[in-house]
Amino acid sequence: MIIEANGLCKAYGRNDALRGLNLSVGEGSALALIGANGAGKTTTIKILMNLLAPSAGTASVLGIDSRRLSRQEFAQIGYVSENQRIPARLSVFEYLAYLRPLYATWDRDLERSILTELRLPPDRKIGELSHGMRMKMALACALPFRPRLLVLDEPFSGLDPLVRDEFLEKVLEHAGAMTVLISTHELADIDGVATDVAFIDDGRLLFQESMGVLTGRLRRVEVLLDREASAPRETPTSWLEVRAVGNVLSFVETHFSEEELGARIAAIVPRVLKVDVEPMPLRAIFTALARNAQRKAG
Amino acid sequence: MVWHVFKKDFRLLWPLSLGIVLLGALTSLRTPLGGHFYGSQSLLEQFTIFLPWLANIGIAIVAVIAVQQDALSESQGDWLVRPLRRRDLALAKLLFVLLTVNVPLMIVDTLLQLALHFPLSISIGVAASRALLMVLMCTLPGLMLGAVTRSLTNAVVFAITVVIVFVLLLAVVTAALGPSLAAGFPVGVWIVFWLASAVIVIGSIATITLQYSTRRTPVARSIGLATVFATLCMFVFLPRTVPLAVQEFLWGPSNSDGIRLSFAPSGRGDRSVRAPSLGYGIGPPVTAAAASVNAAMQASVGREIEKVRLPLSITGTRPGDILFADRIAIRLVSMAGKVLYKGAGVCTRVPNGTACAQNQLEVRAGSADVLNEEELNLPIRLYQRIKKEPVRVEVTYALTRFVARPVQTIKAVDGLKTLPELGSCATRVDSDGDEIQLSCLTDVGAPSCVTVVLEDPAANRRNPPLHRCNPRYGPYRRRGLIDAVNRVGLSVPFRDLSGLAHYPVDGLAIAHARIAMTIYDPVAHFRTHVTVPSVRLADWAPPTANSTAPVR
Repeated sequence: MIIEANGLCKAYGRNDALRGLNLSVGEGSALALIGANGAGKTTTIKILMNLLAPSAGTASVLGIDSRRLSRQEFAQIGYVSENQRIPARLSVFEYLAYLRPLYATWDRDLERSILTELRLPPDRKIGELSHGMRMKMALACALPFRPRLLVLDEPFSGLDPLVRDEFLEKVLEHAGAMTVLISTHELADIDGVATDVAFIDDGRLLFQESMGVLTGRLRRVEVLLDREASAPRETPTSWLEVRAVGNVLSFVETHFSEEELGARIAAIVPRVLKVDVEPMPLRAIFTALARNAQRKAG
Repeated sequence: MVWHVFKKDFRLLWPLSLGIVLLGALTSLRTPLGGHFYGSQSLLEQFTIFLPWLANIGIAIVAVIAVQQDALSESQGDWLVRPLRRRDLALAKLLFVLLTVNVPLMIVDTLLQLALHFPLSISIGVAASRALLMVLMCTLPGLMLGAVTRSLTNAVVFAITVVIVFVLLLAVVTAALGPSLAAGFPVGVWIVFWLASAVIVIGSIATITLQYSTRRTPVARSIGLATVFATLCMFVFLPRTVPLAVQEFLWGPSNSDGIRLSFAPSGRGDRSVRAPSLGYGIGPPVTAAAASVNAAMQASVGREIEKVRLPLSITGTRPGDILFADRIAIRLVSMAGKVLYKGAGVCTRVPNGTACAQNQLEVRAGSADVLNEEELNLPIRLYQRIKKEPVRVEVTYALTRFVARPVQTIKAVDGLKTLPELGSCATRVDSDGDEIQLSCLTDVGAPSCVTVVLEDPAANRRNPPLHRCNPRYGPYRRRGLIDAVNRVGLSVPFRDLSGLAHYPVDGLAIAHARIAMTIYDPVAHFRTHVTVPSVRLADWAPPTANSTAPVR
């Protein structure tokens, strides 16, 4: 595992930002850390990067305890954050020149091509760049040394769609065998980027799963009956958001199997006229799972 | 990598460093530009009196900002996720302040000293010691402050809070324990200063090291706060005996040079004993009004205390030397061994030139033996209780011996001369026409003790000598934190405008008169004790009008 967190806790005064969070990121994967604002995504990333100390629990990054990350590890980690403090009075070129000698693997040609493709003005002071440009600048500082792990903390926050696409395109272009950890509260941002997804709510990990499995196993199902529908007294645990409207019973099947679905419905709801099954968009999947997790958590 | 970070910081902060260096240079120049004498020429100085403090604060600000370029106490700095050795970063910050502020200021100071015709070795030495002082008092604390704060505003608020808390603490402790705590260290102040410097250096290094290695800001802040408080408290609460003990330790084993203290009951009532002088020499003279206020205060205190004067003899002094008692400690012990009273000698009267104030005694030896009366101020209740009982008296003098250097001379009027140990000196008649003003621009500061005589060598006449003693025993005499060049001087009277007194060298002879100066250097610190096995205090209480107790 490139990243592993066990029982991470972090308290700010009386407020618990993390409550025993577990997380693992395999090499070469792209894990999206999803959650609402204040869910604990940034705190998790800051602990992983040793920017904050956990109140309890442990984390390892690249096989090293996150509290002991050294130059050797940081030389393999690219980090981009919406709040990153970069010297505002240096120009883009000056800051890149400052960073170059820090990395043995810095690729000057790659740096040039990224600068050109992201249309970053080398002579402009960093403080004079717009928010979007600053994020692109941060990315330009994180990629030229070909990091083994790229950590993106809310990178799309406040970016217009054009810049966001440019940014994503650049990340995808250089992802290769790189492991990516990306935190966001916008599900659309990770579409086509993430291979895995982890959902954090109120400092806890609600679930972590491969994106392919997740989108494959969840379906919205609508059952047309020959009478007025009503919610069954007992439903399988795999059914979420069960609703009855008119003659239609709808639910989210979380363990979808084309072969088994018909039989399972027939066992619970008799006199079925028609069954419609639709794949779900990411947003709907997360909404359903999150509600269910919150309901279980009480 | 140290240089790499240094170059980045230099690119960002060179205008700030340059500004502070210019400010420091202006600070160094303000005294020499004002000339030898205070007066209309020193308008520049009056308007720039705040500059030294501004320059010193400026150095600390450069240090704070340099550290905060890669702030440690925040979690958003880009540098935190870069492969950068934190030790290199800390060294780069220290190097930045040293090379862009401290060293340029040291060069400015050296050039200034050379321009004032001080020898190269002294110029470099003085500039280096001043630079060291600034590193200890401004740069290191600045680096420490920068390491535990995240912005300059944060640092300023933090510093102001520390000062306010300390002032409140001081007020509370002083109110609880008495104002004597803040009495200061007239003699061992240089030791207190260096002890405090050692505390701030150790504390700063500990804070910076901890913060750079672990970034545990709350812990580092606590250590930083403790350091600042410990440093400030040393100036206020350190017992006066500590610097004296350190001083004696540093000067080696006690070597009294044959000087001894003994009880001399036969010396009591010696007619040659004169009242202590009220003060003379450099500094404001004690006016008659001030003297009467002092007398009134003493009379008021006298109602609460009883004076006891013990005749003591100091033997083994060498004519021409000065003995200075840095502290006089007295204990009264009952015959059963119980300590009845522990205190300091208040005032001592000696027959041969005496200055007596604040627990200090100055003896200018004219012969081998000096008789004096050691005065104790005892609480009247204690005195009444034990005055007729035999008690043991233990007296300890912590003494410093000064020896004279060769006499140096300068023309009394419009003289301009570079004198060894004093610097560039000039003389003139003051605006009233009754005093010669002697003023020196010096890089080493005023000597501890000096005797000045206005003399007319042609007529072989001399005015009464003026003597001033303000002992400072440190390896340097300057408070270099303020100015690179200091102005020291005194006024030598030669005419009494009231016409009551007549000076041998007066207005007519002043044109060809000269000032002869003798500077004294401390050569030994030692203690000498005397134990009087059994005395009845009532036998040694002088008959005074203020005393409410019966003498016998």
